[in-house]
Amino acid sequence: MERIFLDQSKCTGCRLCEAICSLVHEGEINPTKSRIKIVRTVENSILYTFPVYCLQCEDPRCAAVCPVKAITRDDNGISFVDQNKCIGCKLCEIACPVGAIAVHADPGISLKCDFCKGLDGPACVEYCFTGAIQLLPSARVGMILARLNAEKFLELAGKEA
Amino acid sequence: MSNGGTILKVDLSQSLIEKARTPKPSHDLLAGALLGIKTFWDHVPPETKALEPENMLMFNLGPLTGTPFGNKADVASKSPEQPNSPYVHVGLGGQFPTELKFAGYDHLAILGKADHPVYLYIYNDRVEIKDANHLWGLNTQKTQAKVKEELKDPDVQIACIGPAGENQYVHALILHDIQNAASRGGLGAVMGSKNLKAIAVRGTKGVSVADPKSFVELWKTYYNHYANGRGYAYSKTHNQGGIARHIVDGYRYKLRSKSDNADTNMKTFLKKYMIHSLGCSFCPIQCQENYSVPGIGNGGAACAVHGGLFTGIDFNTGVPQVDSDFESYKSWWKATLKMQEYGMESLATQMIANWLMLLYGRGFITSEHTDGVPMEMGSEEALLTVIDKIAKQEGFGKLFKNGIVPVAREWVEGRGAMFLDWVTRSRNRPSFAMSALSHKGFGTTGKAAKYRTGDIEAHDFIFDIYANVEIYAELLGISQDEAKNMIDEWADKASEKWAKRKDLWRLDVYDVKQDVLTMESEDLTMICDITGHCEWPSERQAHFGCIGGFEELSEWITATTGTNYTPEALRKAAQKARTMIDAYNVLCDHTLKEQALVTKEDAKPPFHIPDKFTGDVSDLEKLEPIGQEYCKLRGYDPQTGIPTRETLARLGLKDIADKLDDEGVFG
Repeated sequence: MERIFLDQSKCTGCRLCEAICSLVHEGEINPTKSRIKIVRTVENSILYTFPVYCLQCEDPRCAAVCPVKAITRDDNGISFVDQNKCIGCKLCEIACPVGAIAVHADPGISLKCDFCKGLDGPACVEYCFTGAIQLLPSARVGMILARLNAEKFLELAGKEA
Repeated sequence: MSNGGTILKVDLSQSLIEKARTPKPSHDLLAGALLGIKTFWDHVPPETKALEPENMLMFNLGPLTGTPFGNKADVASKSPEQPNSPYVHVGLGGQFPTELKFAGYDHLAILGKADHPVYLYIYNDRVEIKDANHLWGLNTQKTQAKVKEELKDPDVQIACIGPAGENQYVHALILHDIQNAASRGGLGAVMGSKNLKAIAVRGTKGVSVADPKSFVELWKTYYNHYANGRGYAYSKTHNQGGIARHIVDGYRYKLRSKSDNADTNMKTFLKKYMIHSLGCSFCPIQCQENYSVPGIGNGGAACAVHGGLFTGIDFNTGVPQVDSDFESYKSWWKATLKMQEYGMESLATQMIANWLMLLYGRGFITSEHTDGVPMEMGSEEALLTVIDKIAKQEGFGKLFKNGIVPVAREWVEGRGAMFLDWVTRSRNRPSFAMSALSHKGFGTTGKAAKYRTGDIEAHDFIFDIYANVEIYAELLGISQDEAKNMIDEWADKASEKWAKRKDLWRLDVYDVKQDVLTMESEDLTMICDITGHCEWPSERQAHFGCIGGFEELSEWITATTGTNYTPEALRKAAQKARTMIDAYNVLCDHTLKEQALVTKEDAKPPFHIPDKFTGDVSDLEKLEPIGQEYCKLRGYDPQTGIPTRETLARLGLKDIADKLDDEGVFG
């Protein structure tokens, strides 16, 4: 099983992932139809960016609240929306704890990350220039996070940067 | 397809908002910069002065703007930098152009003058002119924060002016976000003259793509070229705080400084204070930087020392003192932030400071001329005073409202030529010719051409290819010999493709064939201005391994719009736009006779300051025949620099030829 892993420090806020996501899913470039969203904000002349995307919950609330059972989880742990069943009620949008789902009036259904089903893997990962979003085996994520954090201490200990 | 579909016209005098349909995509590619100059020909009489209400300010998007292949707006107006108000068009990146496209617009044209300060708010189809009395006087950062707060939308994208624009300083710029700007041409003063403080845009419509499948395939090729192909070195140089480094390393330190401290100082600054990269929407390269310097402040820096966005790490003024003093980098940062906040162009402003310092150093002026502040070279106080006084239009700063030339005429009577080589004649500002940076023969054409034709911001990129050798070697972990070979190979390939001769980029002396490189480079820049593609990762930089020329652009636009474009059609559109600009500026009286501020006698030391990179003084007599050769190539009259009737007819511009004829231009 693989997961999308985020290294926020590498995100430049270019929003290419938003463009590519909406392009491969909807055939147009429109961040409001992107499954991944870049929160981009400027405070005191410093840019802060944070990608928000579906974390593929182990116990997905979106699926639990869906009144028509349009959201199901496959064997790889990817929850996806059955477009034929979705009625656009927006309950999933409310239930998602990270803000990764939005219902757009056109096409009128829930827009949720499906790991780019049918493609060679998530397009946002493929085109992320800095490697801020990566696809990693689930089992390795914990160790990678540990390493990233340890780096800070190693640096403090005098390691050459 | 791919067009927003609408041209938005706002007349501030009458609070009138009009919308028109954008011309359908057709083979003549009437979009971006081309539609911009056409609109001026049709609606703005050449005798209009830049700061009059009748002048227009346009934001022109291309068919690629808002897609991953494009994120630029071509911002056009008559420029207040010169008394004859020539037409200028400059690039603006960031998120603003994309947002404007997403709101459904291809062009935004602003006319007239509001009777009180206003700002424009565009939310998709909704367009409002809102009161900005409470924003007037605020700096560029505070203005944007306030507008976002007021509109209750942190995702709104804003282009605004600061006090410099309000006060109509002719080198005021339009700023967007932290450090993106329409910087050259003084368009901030144009906004100020219209009482327009800001434009806030939010769009949720997106951009449709005619052939998404081909589009993604084309993007894959382009992307991979920069991510792991031949363009990798280029993007890496820009992406990692490299832009400042490569500019600095390449041009400044290596050419002028004999000390290694300079290099070390810049790297220290980057390492200590850079937070991350900044850039425009969808661009993987993100070629600008966000810095935070404790005790001084936060802001952004961009590459354009040459065009004069903000970086301007410039030992023009001795700030910073690159060779020795790391602390003086903080002075440079103070100055940079001030100029960002005031919304003024850094290079032209530093040029004024530099000029004052030179006059002071040579005893032409005393501190009495500058409100008691001695204009010592390298003095932080001197530089900051110049910036403050000009932006606020106080004290001696008032003299410089219209730039350097009027003061030069007044102060140094008869010897107005206490001049920098960069201030090309009466153009009142440093030329944008990268070739001015060149220390080899091949830069000469660009320079000569700028003395001769009308498009004052025509932008070639024919400069020293070897400036990047060291930084490429370092970033790629290869030897300098390997890096040099790599760059040689690219330059030869580009030279062969553009001018059918391999060695042009490597020649140490001027060769007439290099004119072809200059022209091709300018045309490539222009087609980027028309399509909305950024010229930096384009074939204009072929000598650094970049792709994205007429061939690729035609494929991208075809996939995006669904209309079939040929490379030839694009080339013709580019040449047409350039010729239309040159012809328009002929009628703005931007002709050769206007450029005679400096006499041949003046153009000799000590009255003429040598080119700071090369140590040369432009030899006007030497430049003359070179400019003439260039004119022949473009189909202009070599003597006058004016497009000929035949050339205009060939480009389908017979009506313009007739207008020139009516004005007696052809004699």
